[in-house]
Amino acid sequence: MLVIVSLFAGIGLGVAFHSAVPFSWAPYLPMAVMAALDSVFGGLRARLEGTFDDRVFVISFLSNAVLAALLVWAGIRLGVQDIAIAVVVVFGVRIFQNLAAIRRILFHA
Amino acid sequence: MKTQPETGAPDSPRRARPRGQIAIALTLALLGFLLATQLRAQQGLTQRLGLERESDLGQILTTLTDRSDQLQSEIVDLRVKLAQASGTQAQQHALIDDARQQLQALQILLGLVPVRGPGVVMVFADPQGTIGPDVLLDAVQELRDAGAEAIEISSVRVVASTSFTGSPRAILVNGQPVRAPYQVTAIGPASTLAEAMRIPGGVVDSLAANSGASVRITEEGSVSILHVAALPEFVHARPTARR
Repeated sequence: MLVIVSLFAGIGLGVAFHSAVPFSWAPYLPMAVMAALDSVFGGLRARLEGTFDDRVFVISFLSNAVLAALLVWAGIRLGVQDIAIAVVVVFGVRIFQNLAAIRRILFHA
Repeated sequence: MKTQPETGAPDSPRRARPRGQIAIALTLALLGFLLATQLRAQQGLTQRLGLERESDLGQILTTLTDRSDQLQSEIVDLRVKLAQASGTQAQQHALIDDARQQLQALQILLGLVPVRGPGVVMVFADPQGTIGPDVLLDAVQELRDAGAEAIEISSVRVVASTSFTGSPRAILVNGQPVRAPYQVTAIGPASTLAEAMRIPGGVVDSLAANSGASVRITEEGSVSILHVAALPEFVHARPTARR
């Protein structure tokens, strides 16, 4: 319950603060969001499987987001801006896998 | 769902650690914040152009076109400046060459450098002591009139400020005593100088008519004037703007 409430509180904060993204963050924030979403679905799946650990969840959430942003940053520095595509693909596949696992657990199908 | 190892109260949430709950809550709040921010940013970007009215879009296009034109003209301006700078360099070279020539002319005129060239050498023999400073001055003026560019009298360089004072047998050229026979060296058009010296009624002619003084004139293809004058120091005269 607290979890749902805090999620919406965060969304509310983001909307309320009108926080314009600094232009220099533009390439990194989407990657961080993708990584965070991946962590959240992974955490949900782990919870449903009963292997959820809050420390693992929190640390993986933060480190995934930071690492994804760093990877994109390194890609831009190295002149391979397309590395963002690799990050998107990796996290997209993982989100799909997590969602599939959740679906199996919830619907036994 | 797996059963909890520590089966306390059956309705307690798994791993009911308050601190863990708070951490998860904070993390999800962060996720919400990030999501909202990113969605807003993305929306702003796509909507900005999508929601503009046609006239506004036209204005945006005009602004961008103007900016492009502005930058184009800036490029042209900079090209022109570049060309001007290159042209200026050539002009500067010409100026430097001019200045160098001027410096050389002034150095010769002021007698600051040794010079060499065609000219005449005259020797005024004066056994009876009849030649005064006025004779030498007259000779110098006649030489200059005939186009002499550099003159030397018995190892004293004659320049614009040179004075001729004293009396026969004790002539001072610019304060320096000179003794007979006086040797006058002049650089210039040799034959013209020699002819000017021999002109009837001139210095040489009158000298020969009056007294026992004699003058020997030799035209030389190349004579050297090695003595130099000191650079004059101007105390009172100051350059001023024309008019």
